[in-house]
Amino acid sequence: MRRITIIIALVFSITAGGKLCAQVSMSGVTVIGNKIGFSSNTSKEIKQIFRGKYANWSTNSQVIIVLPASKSVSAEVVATSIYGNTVSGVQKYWLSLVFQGRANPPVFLDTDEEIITYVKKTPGAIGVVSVGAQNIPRNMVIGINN
Amino acid sequence: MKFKHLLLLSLIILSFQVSRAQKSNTQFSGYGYLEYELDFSGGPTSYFYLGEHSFFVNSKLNDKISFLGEYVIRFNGNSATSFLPSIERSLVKYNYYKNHNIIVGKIHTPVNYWNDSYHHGRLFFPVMDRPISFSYLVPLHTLGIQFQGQNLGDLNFGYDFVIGNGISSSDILSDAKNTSFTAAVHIKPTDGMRIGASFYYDFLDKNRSGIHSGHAAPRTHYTGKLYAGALNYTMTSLSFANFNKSYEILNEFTYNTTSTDSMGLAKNFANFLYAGLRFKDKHTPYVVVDFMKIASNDLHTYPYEVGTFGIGYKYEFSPLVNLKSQVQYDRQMVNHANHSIKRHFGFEFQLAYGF
Repeated sequence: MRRITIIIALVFSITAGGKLCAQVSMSGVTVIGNKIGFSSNTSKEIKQIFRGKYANWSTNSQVIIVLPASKSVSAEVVATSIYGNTVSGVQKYWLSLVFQGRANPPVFLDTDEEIITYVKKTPGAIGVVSVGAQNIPRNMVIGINN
Repeated sequence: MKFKHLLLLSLIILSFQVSRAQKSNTQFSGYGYLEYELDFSGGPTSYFYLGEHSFFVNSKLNDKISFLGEYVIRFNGNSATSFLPSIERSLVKYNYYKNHNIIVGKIHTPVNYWNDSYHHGRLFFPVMDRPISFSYLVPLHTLGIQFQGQNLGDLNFGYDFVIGNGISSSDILSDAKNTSFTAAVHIKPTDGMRIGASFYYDFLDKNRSGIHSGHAAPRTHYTGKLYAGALNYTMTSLSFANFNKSYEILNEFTYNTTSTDSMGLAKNFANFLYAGLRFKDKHTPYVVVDFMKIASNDLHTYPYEVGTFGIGYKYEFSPLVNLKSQVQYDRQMVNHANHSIKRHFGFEFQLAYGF
């Protein structure tokens, strides 16, 4: 009986661990978008968008991904939160995908301010900045539901 | 006079506006490599090797149409400058609906994981060189039309269907009566994992291999008279790749058949296995085992057995520079009649870079 209890506890802890991993939220970042067809989405879907899953929005406009460049102060938090990877891992991911001809390259910009400005003037753009970024128009912020 | 100036000014402004409206978003990049090899097979020899350099262009022409080009310069002893250029890929992609595209031009035939993902990008190679089957069985390029879908549904299903010039064609001509056909599917169930299968068919009416199209099918291991009749060629491949933060695995299985009236159906196969262990984001020790066997009744590649075992180490200075070192042992059975065997043992360094 004791053995069975231990096994059940072990299985439960593994399952719970898996669920916890799957529900990791995107802490430390704010996602912004311009005419992308939604104002909130799940963290899973947001991550897939930033991984280049979609070529077009539901509005039929092209998906334009805007990311912090590797030397940007927000590059590391974005790499961890969105890609679950390192900054160089994210660079390698996009280099490889573009080389395969399976995606258009993202726009890499140096600062949060540049990302906000670019997204603001580009319909179809979705970008990610650090959570403390200033001067983000409220209508551009995309809500994230875990 | 004033009118002429005004007209000229108007034309300049108009042309500027048109060029702004047509402004494309173009990116240029390149990939190259250098090698140093110590060869112990016939007494120790050592040499440096300047590898091929690939120039890559990606251009967004408008919201729906993009262009991709890859141009390679590699060593060729017959050239006056010792180097020759080639067009490896040159294609226009039209995104007609969601994640579905039509592609026309010269492509890497979407068979196997390797040909679809790396081809000339040594920077992305997990090991020093491509699988053995790529020099003999895999139809590397196709010039034609491709229907592509990707990242469909929860499993990220993808498909590629291609019709185009076959193995015996060149980049400007195909004298064959038929086109080649490729069908490939894959899923990407988790980040970094891809499972794929593909089928390729071609009919070669004179059993010729093309010039930098289809595949080269080197027959240097065969000294007899080459068959010049009709031949049916198929290739089926299964691939499994999982590249994540802690380990990397790639297995490519290739099954090839050739059939002729005189020798019947020849069944050939090859398998490439790579396994690497990543740590601290930059270090990857790995092993590679590669094997190919061509049947004794094959009239396209001709009987051949070759195997490779290697262990290596990859260090990444950055996403754009890595250094690989590999110890490798090759064994080739070049003549089935007298079981002549060649062995090769070498140690190589490769510096691969992007720019």
